[in-house]
Amino acid sequence: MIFCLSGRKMASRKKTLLKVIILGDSSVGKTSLMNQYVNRKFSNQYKATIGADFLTKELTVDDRTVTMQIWDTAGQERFQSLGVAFYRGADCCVLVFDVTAPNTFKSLDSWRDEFLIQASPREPENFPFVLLGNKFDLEPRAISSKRAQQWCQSKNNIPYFETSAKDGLNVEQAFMTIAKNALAQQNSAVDLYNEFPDQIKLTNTQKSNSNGDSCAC
Amino acid sequence: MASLDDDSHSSDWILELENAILEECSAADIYCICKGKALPETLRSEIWQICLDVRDKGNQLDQFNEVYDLPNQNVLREDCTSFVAKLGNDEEDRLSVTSDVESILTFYCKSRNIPYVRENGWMELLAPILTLKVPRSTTYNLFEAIRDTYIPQSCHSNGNAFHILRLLLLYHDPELCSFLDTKRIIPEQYCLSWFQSLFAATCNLEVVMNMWDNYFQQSDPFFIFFLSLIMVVNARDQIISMKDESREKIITCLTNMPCGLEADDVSDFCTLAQYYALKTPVSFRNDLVQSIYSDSASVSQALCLPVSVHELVENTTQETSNVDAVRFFLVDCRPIEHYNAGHSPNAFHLDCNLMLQEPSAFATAVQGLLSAQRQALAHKSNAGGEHLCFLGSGRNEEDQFTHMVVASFLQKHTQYVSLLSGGYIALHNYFADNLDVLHDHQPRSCIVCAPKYAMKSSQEPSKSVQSNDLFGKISAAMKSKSAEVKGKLIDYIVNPNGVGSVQERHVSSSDKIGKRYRNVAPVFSIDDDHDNMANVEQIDSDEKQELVQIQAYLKNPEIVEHFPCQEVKLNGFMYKSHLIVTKAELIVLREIPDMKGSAELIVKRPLSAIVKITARKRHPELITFKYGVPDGENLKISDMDRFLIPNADKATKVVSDQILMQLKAKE
Repeated sequence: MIFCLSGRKMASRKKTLLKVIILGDSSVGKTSLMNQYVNRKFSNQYKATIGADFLTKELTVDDRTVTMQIWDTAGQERFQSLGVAFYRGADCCVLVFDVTAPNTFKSLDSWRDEFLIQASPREPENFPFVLLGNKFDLEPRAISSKRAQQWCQSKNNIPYFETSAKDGLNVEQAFMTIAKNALAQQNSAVDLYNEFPDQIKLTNTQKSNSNGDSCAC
Repeated sequence: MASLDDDSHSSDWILELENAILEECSAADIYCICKGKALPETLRSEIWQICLDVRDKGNQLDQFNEVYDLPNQNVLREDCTSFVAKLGNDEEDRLSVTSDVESILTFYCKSRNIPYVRENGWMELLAPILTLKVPRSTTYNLFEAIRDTYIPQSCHSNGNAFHILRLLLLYHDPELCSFLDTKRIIPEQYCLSWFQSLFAATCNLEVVMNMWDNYFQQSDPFFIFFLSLIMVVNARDQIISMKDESREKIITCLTNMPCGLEADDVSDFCTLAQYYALKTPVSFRNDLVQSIYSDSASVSQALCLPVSVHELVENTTQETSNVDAVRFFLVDCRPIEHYNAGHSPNAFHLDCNLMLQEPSAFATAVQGLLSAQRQALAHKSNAGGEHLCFLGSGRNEEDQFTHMVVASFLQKHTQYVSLLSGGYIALHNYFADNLDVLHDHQPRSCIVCAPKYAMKSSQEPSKSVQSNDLFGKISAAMKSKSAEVKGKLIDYIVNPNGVGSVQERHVSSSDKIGKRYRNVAPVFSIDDDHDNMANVEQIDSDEKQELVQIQAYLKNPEIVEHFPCQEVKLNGFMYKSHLIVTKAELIVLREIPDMKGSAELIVKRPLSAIVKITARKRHPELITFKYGVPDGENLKISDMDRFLIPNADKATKVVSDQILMQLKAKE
């Protein structure tokens, strides 16, 4: 009569929240990417993000409805000490650079390191990152696809997308991958402790012994 | 802009001034007579010396050995020559002036043990003083005093002086500040020369003389910040209209802004700066300016202007007749359970967690806040002010969300936004001797009191000699650890409150103890699903607990297994405990920090009462046991225990196995 309660009904109603953090140098298009994905809006006018901001979006991943909470951080150095507090509890970290600005690519290592230090995920080497090379619509190109992909390979095969927040190119696909990887990260962590499958066993026991009304579910 | 001086009375005040000079007088006396007006040329050098307090300085240059051997003496000499050439002196004077300037600056370098650096503003600063045509020693004294008193010490590249100016701009004109941030224009790029030379480098001589007359009379070393602020704010329309121009062009435009200033404008300019100074919290002077001397990062990384507890309290308790003075409207951004455990009577509660969980409810709450502020202002209530002062807990875990809330206001270009330094903890400490000032203060759940409170109650039953010190250390260590856990939990908080209940909460100054969890989901819903847990009360019994010897107790044959662990309370505190599984019960022993080997028997739970065992995915070692009965489709949870168990997998397995065995036995 007890463990049936923690069974499937609860699980199906479970709301999944994914926390995604967007990092990268100032003006690479972090806010724009988020706005393009969530609101399908784009403004050519750059505006520095004060502190941090966030937007949420509901989406369906493999028949599961998940709420993605996208945290947009300020790229400017001034706000970085405020930003790091937000890293904790992230399910996926999105690194963004500007394909026309080599310096923003060079900073990726330090953004990644900073994230791993501050967020201190359980398995740093397996924590999901996704790299976005933004401003694909602009010329001249400074960082080739090959170079970006090489970097990704060196970091345990981070998925790479070339995006344009302006015309929406690859934005949807990128965020779908982000959501999937974030979800996988959550699930793998759950499996770790679900080594006590007793819950299920108990539910079965329950079913076999109580066809009556002792159990309300 | 014309000066509003009434000429007919001009001779009166000059006479009075002349008399004052003959007697002993101070800068304040001079200000009373002149009211910041430009000084007559004949009296200027005398009055500057009075205001800068250098009349008794004597001839410091006597100590100068006339050896010109600075590492870059030739650079200095070159600069002096070209500087003097621009002054337009007669040919015969030029050489002596040049040598005076070089002597003064060389000696200044030597006496201060600082190097001469090109374009450090010294020449520009000297120019107005030289026009007074006073002896070399007086020139030196004035130069030294102006530099020491009025030039911000950290006005070098990335110096805190510029970060402070930015914070002031953010306070008074957030939109303009955000515009400049966006353009990546930082104050030092346009106002370095203003700061270094007190505007002497950019304004014409007449303007500088008038401005300095006013400046020295006021003898306010922070006035430069407000003068610079006015310069920028005054040009806001022009700057914002340049949104499509290059960064360099905007910087040049800003840098040259003071050039347009005319002598007639000076008094208006200074009056305006005084007005802005009045409308700025003074903590900026007391607290921030200290950081001018150190180069701490706190200023450069500050989200907005900080306000000290002292200023906040003084401000809300004192009446003022000045309508322009700063009045605060305190916004408490802490989570609801913190607020309910004690808050300032004047605080408006805006739960920072709401922002993440219920953005629309948050927007409603903000509207409520603004209308409450309007009402308070209309009623001239002490709690009402134009200046929004946000209050966090003072701990990073919660304050990251407070910062989010503050950032959201700044993003909306809300004027007069500040943050209370040190948050609630600082406020609490300020009232340490008189905690009655805080409303609804509950020592048991207050984040400052609770550790001490726990210490007191644990001392009572055992009556043994205990060292507070040791306990303090241990609880501090535990607290910091629990804080960490809490930080990770916090983003899973569920808040089922609808829009309607939000408003209700804000009039909660009168909330009573029993209502603490009314309509509020348990804050630390430990797992991701939402049980019906509204009935869970934090049960912390006051009863004296049974005292046991751990080792002896563990010998009980009924015991199946025991696990050392930490019990984690709802308020985040942790207690070193033992979780004991017997054939029919779950027993919790809590160690007594100062009595080695002893423990309190906290609770015995029948295994059959356990309805759920959950772990957190990010904290597999954090295990929650929930007790209760099924209630329709849901669980009716009546109580819960939570532990950090190093060997969690095994513990949950043992408990599950025992429950299974019990079930089987029943069959």
